[in-house]
Amino acid sequence: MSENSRMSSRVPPPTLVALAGWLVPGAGYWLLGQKSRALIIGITILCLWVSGLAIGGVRIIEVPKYDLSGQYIPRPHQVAVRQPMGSVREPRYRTEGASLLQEIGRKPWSIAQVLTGPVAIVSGGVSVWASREDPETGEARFPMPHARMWEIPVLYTAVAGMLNLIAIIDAAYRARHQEGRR
Amino acid sequence: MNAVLAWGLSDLFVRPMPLWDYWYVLMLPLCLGVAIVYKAIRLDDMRQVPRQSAVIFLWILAGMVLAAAVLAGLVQLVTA
Repeated sequence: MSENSRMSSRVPPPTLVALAGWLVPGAGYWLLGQKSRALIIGITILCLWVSGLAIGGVRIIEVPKYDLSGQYIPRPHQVAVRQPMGSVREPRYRTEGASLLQEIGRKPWSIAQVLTGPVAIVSGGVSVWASREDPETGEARFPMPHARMWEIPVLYTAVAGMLNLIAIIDAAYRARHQEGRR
Repeated sequence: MNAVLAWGLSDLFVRPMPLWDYWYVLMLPLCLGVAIVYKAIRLDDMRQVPRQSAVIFLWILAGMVLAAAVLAGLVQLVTA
């Protein structure tokens, strides 16, 4: 018997299915009664995510609005440029900080990563903590990976997020069509 | 090889794995993950997923090897 024919008679709304799929990868299918599909997809996506973190370390997750030393980047604002003592020139300013959109533009892979769900937000929080200075050593708590050891794990986590997006869309589509058939 | 031996379980999630010389092996789990999720979404019967995803996994690898060979040939042609 196929999974589609085993679906329960009460179909949750597509938005709830999509939200569940984002909260826990595969959970959208679980709500539709397709438990083996939910387990296969959920476990595979989470394995890809964890593999990415294991290969490159948790610092591969770059959180928009936080710099490499884990400091919050404020909104764009003008900062006066220091001039030599006794200077009579007009005061000069430069712009510091960045908006959220500018930051996402600098780290576009974070869009794909956050599609994996709250696990991405928790990993991002740990990454910000790990990039802050350790008061004892004066260096970042965890080292930042470079080159391929940064690129490949970012690819793993971004692909995990994109696969979860496909699963979310598919589960919501199935929920909508099951609703229509009832 | 020394870097591989020096890396321990306590470094998991802290330091990158010393796999920079074997980076191409990392393509395998990624392709397998994509193949499994793709087939689990497409197929109605989940019992077919292991076999079907193994087939598409091999197709992805074959495609990648072919793309690598074509690109390597192109580089040789341009740099010759």
